[in-house]
Amino acid sequence: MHRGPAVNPEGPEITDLLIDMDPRSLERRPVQKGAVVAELEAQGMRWGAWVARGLPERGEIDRLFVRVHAEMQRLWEEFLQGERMRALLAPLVKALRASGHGGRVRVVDVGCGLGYLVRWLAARGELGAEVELLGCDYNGALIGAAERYRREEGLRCGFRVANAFTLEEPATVYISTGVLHHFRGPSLAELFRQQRGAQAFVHLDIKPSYLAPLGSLLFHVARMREPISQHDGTLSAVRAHPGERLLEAARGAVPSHEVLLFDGEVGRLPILRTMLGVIGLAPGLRGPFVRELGPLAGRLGATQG
Amino acid sequence: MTPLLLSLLALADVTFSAFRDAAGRNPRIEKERYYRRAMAGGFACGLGALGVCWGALRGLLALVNDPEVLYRDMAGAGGWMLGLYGSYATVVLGALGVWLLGGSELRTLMSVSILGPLTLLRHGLIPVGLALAWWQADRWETRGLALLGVMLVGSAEQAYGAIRARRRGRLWPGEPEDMASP
Repeated sequence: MHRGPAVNPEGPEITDLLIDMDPRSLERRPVQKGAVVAELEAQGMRWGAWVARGLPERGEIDRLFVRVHAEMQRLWEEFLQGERMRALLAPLVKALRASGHGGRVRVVDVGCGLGYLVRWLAARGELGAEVELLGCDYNGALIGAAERYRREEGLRCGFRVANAFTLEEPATVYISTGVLHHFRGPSLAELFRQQRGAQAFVHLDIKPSYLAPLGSLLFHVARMREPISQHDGTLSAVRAHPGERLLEAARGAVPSHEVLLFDGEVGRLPILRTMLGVIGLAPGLRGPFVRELGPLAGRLGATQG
Repeated sequence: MTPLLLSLLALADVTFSAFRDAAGRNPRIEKERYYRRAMAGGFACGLGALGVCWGALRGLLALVNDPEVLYRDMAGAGGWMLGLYGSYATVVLGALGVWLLGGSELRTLMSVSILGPLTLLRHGLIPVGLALAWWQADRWETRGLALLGVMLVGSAEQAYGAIRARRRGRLWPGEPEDMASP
């Protein structure tokens, strides 16, 4: 048993250490369990090191990832992440049309995992036939499973083992859920920089607040079975970027776009709105987007954090 | 009335245990049927457990010389369990109702403040109910029946887990193969 739930806010999530990919070739490089444990111990993450010691050997890791992401999907279903993304994406698509963007709108989910968001939007998003939904992830096991579920349910969307920012046909809109906090330091700005060519981006992530770490711990222990899910889920809330940091990174990296926060204000009762959104809009999109958003526009803010 | 209400609570609990066991194991989008089948399985397990408890109750009442006194003792102890478990169920079902009918903020509030924490609390609450019944009861038959009922209801998730382990990690119809544990 680990001695105390020691976590390091700047330390890695275990899943970040388990998969090592060459970002160009997307070749998977071998990862030694001992090295993962040593890294977590070196960062003072006793809970994480304890969990990592109990991980299965190589060969079972991919199946573990699929199970972990399925548990995560269950949480996203409960917290209505699909509805939340649709509430922002549907007005954005209308705003793109209103501002003269004709033809197909290509929406690319960055780090889509099992592709829940993309599959949900394809099943229930009602975004229209001219919206193409594509999920990208480096993890072939997750993309393979996402593609299988897409096929089984006959959904109109696609999945690729690919770098979302180097697709032959670039995205009109980049989206993600629960991805931003994985990028630390300069890599956060770099993540935004790679989206300069898009018309817009909508990224949802956990909103940091004084209640988020405790709530996340309780919730992940209550809802998830895999110890790695409980650890990484809890750490996600601890590591979540404040809105100000996200705004600063996005504005610095994509100066051409107007960057706004959605639900960025923490408020007195942060458990009502547990996620925040970072929205980037190409010039001329803000007006139509705010109009299409309707009453939800009141939850947009330019500077809140 | 007390045995009937306790039975209904037990049945609901075992059925929801099946839902919890099924949740997070099927990443498809449309899975109402999957959850319905899991909960129907849980309901059937609950009926089985209730059958054992009611059989034990009738057997005990038939064996003793003073069945009316024993029944009063059981009803008294069961009343304490009912008070505790009933309060818990009322809060959970109320929150679930709000979750089903409410908007996104209300749903989040219910999930974070009630449904999640009370799922964790359930494991501690079951033995507390048993302790109350033992403390209130005068007869060993009452204590034995309370223990049997609590063990059957409280171990539903472990039972699903044991069956799952024998079935290569899959239990409810419709679970994808990816979800199977090694």
